[in-house]
Amino acid sequence: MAWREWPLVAFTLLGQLATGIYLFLVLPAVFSGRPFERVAGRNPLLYVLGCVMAILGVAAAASFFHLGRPLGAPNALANLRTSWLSREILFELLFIFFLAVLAFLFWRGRGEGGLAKTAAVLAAGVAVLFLISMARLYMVPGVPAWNRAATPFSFIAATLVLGSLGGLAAGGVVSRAFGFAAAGYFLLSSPWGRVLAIVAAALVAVSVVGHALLTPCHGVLGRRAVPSLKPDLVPPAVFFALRLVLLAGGGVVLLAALRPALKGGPPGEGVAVFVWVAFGLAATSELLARFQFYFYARGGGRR
Amino acid sequence: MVRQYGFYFNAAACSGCKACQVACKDHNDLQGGLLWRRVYEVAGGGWEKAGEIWVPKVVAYNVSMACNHCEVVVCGLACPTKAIWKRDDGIVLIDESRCIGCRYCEWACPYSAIRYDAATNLVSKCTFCVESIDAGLAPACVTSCPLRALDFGDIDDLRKKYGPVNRVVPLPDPESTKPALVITPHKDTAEAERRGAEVANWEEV
Repeated sequence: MAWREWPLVAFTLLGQLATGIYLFLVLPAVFSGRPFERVAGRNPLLYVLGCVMAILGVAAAASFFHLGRPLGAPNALANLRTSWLSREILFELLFIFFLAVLAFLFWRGRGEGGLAKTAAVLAAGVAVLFLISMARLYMVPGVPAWNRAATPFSFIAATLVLGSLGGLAAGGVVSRAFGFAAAGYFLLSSPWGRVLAIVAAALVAVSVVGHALLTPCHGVLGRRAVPSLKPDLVPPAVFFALRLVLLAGGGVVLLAALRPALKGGPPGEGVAVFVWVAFGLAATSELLARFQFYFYARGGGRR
Repeated sequence: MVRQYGFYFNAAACSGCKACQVACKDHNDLQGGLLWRRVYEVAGGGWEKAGEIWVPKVVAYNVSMACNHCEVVVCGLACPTKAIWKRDDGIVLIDESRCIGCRYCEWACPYSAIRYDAATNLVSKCTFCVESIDAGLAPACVTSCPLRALDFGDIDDLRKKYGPVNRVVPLPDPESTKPALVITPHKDTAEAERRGAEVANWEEV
C-alpha cells in the first residue's frame, strides 16, 4: 500500500459517510418533519446538517494532501466535459452549497417551507451525482482490478451501510443531546427509527454477500485481473476475511441492539453504545476494504 | 506532414539489453527511479510431460514500452486540469504549469506510461524526444537500440511497413486508446496467453 493514498481513503470514505447520513437521516426528516421536531425553539436537524457539512469539509481537506501541487486545486474544475475527477469535485462543492442553503433555512426557522424541500432535493441529487462520479472515476482501463462491478458496488455499499449506521449513531447523539430520549435513545423509540435500523441491518447483510461475491481475487466471482502493465499483486486474504467478519459483526451487534425495540418495547439499556459499536465495526471493515482497493492500483507498494 | 507519430517495436529482435531505457533516462536527465521507457521481461510456462519424459515448455520475450501517444488520449480526457495535450503531429505532452499532481492520468493510462516524479511532485512521461523530432532527429531510444528493434515515424507509414499488430501479452486491449504503436511479435507470443505469461521483472519497471 502506498501511504500517499491515505488521503484518498479518507476522502472517499468520509464523502460516502456524509452522503449516506444525508440520504438516510436528513432528507426523510426534511419531508416528514419527524423525528426531529423543534425543541425549545431549536431544531436538532440543523446540528445533524452541521455534522454532515463538517464531515464533507474534512473529506475535502484530506483530498488536498493527495495533490502534488495543492495550490493548483482550483484548476481541477477545468475539464468538466470529460474528466470524472472534475465532475466529482464540482458535485461535492454543489452538495456542500445546497447543504449550507438548507442549514440557513433551518436556522431562519423556514425549514418546513417549499424552499427548504427544494434545496433538500437538489442536495440529494448532487449527492447522488457525487457518488456516481466517485465510482466512475476509478473505473479506468489502466487498473483492471478497478474496472469492474466491484468498484461501484463497494462505493454504494459503503455509502448505504455507513450512512444508515452513522445516521443511527449521529441521530442518537443529537436526540440525546436535545433531551428527546427518556428511554435513552430516541431514534429506536420511533417507528421511523426502527425502520431505519432494520434497513441498516439488511444493508449490512447485502454488503457482506456482495463483497463475498465480487471482491477481486478473493470473491467467489472476483476473477483475477487480466494481464496488464500494472503489477497484479493479490492483497493478503486475511484483510478480506477480517473485513467480512467485522462487517457481519456490526450487523449482529445492531440486531442485538434492536431486539427490545423490535419486540415493541422501549430500547434496551445501553442501546446507544451498541449502535456505536456496530458503526465502529462497519467503519473499520470499510477502512480495510478501501485499503485493499488502493492496494490493487499500487501493486502492494512495489511502485 | 506527419499526422500521428508512432513507435514500432520488434519483439522478435529485442534482446532485452535495456539500452533504450538507459538512453531515454540519460537524454531526458530523469531522476533515480523514474523511467519513461521500460523493458518488460515476459515469461511463463513450465515443465510438460511428453511421452515418458518431461520437457520445458516456456515462453520468454521482452517488450519495450513507453508512452504510445495514443489517438484516443485517455490520460488527457481524465486530467481534471487539461494539462495533457496533443500536438498536431500526434505527440502527447504534459503542461507542467497546469499539472496539480493528482495522478489520475497515471491510473487512466493502461500502458503505465505516466510516471510520478518524486522530485517535482508532478507526473511526467515520454515526450517522443520532441526537441529532437523538431530538429529532424530521431528519439533517443530509437537511435540507441543496437538491434534496431525500435523505429518511429508516421503511424500510417509504420503500419504499411510493419503490419497492423499493436498488442502482445501483457499489453492491454488497444481498442480503448488506439495506441500509435506497431509490433512485430516474438514467436513465443502465440503461446504466451496459454502458458500464463506475465511480467517477470516488476522490480525493474
